[in-house]
Amino acid sequence: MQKKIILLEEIKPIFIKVLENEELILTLESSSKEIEEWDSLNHIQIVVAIEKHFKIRFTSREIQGWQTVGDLIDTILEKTS
Amino acid sequence: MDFLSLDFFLFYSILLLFHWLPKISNALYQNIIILIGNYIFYYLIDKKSVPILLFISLISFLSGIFFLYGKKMKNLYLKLSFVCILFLFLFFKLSNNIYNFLLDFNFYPTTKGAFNILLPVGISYYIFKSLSYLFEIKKDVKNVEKNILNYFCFVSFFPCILAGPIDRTTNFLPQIKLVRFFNYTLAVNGFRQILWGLFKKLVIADNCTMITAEIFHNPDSYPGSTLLIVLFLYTIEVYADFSGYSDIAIGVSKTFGINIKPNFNYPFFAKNIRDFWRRWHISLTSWLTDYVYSPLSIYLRYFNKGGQFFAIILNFLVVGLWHGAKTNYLLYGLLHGFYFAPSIFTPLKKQKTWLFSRSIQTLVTLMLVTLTFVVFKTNNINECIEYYSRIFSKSIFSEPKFENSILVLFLIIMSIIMFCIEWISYGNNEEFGIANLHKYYNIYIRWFIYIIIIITIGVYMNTTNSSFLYFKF
Repeated sequence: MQKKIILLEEIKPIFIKVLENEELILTLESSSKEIEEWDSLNHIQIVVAIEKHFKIRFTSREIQGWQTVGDLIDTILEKTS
Repeated sequence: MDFLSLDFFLFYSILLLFHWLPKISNALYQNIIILIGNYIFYYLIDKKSVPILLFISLISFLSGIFFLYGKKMKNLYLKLSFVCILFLFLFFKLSNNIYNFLLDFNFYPTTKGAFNILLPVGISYYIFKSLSYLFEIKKDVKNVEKNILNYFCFVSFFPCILAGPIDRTTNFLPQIKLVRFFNYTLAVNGFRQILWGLFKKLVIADNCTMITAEIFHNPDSYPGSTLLIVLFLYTIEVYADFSGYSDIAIGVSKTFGINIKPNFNYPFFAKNIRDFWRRWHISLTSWLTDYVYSPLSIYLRYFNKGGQFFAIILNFLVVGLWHGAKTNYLLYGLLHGFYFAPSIFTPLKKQKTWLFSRSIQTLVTLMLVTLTFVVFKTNNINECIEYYSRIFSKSIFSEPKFENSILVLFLIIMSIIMFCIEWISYGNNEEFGIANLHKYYNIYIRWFIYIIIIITIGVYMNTTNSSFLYFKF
């Protein structure tokens, strides 16, 4: 759980930069449904930025399987451990 | 049987009674009633296409079963089923075009138009429903539906079979598996939604057709000012017709205890094109986002903005093609693609503030969308160019001339009333114009409103055009 919180803080600046929202509140339960600027277009930019930051590569299946930020973080954890 | 007819009203009432009255609280019974109703309805609308509906339902259902229990061959069955259904879709959409194209090169010794495959009613909608099921089971095997009755109910669900909304199994099946208990609030809201849909369709859309049908195809006889007003009326007509149908479809579903997701979310209050497409024909655009745009943009993500641009243009070309394999629909799609694409290259903050106020942004968006309906509606490129050149000419300042100015004025007033009512419900975050009125008004005011609407429909409805625009897709 601790690792997830650390990762959440690490990816938050990426979300803030892409969505251009300094006041963004991001939790493990956050999804595109609550965040207005987060649509399918910005989603890809976020994905690419995260891949570059962690030097990992997601599969299409993984990307399309995420429902929340928590799911995204779980995948990052799998790939970085 | 016409959708807006006494026959349908009788069919619907009888089905509703059979569904709710018996003291059998059992999902199986309710679903059998719905399935019988679905096929009676489709048989009466388009009897020759019943085998096609059955075939598509059966092969998509079976691919789920094979996917679940098949071992080595499961992906093959899924792909075969997908190709087969897609082939049927393209066959019906493209066959007339391919035939005429071949004729141009003298492959057939007959005249153009002699070969005319009629599109089965609703095929674009139920094909997309069954294709979405194939995508969902590929994503997660838990989405496979083992109950053939439930799945067939989904594909053939009669309120949505003619012109959508294009529902998903993930929304529909969890509801149909459970017994529905009569929910008074939901049923009343369903009736309100049907009433609102009838108002938009019968009073606004059908009367707009009286003005737009003739003038649109004879632009050279009218000044730019007339053509501009007609264009706005046509935009309102498409909205009132299609959202009116969707309201009736969703309202009818609610009276059976089934919630279908909205197909429109006040599109003319959109602040930009991107927002517009989140609000217009939502079931189609979300289908395309999930199954065309997202996979493509994920695949092309390392091409950065170029990749996204390509994915957007292709997505909107599919929007156009879905309407039909005619140049004007493809151009319509392409135009929206080029409207949409700049938002990839513009920072989000600039998109929010570029025209200072929200109202101006909304009006500009409305204007841009309205202009695309010239391409959508005109029969050929000459008509289209004539229409645009007249709007953008000096004749836009001349006095508009109409044979029936009173009808035009009536429609402008009715449209303003419709938008005012929708503006209020939009502000209240309600699903449609007269949703949940019990939250805001007492019973006397509510019934006063219903009676006014019913009288308006009774007095002003135009029954010369009893079909819906989007039935032809």
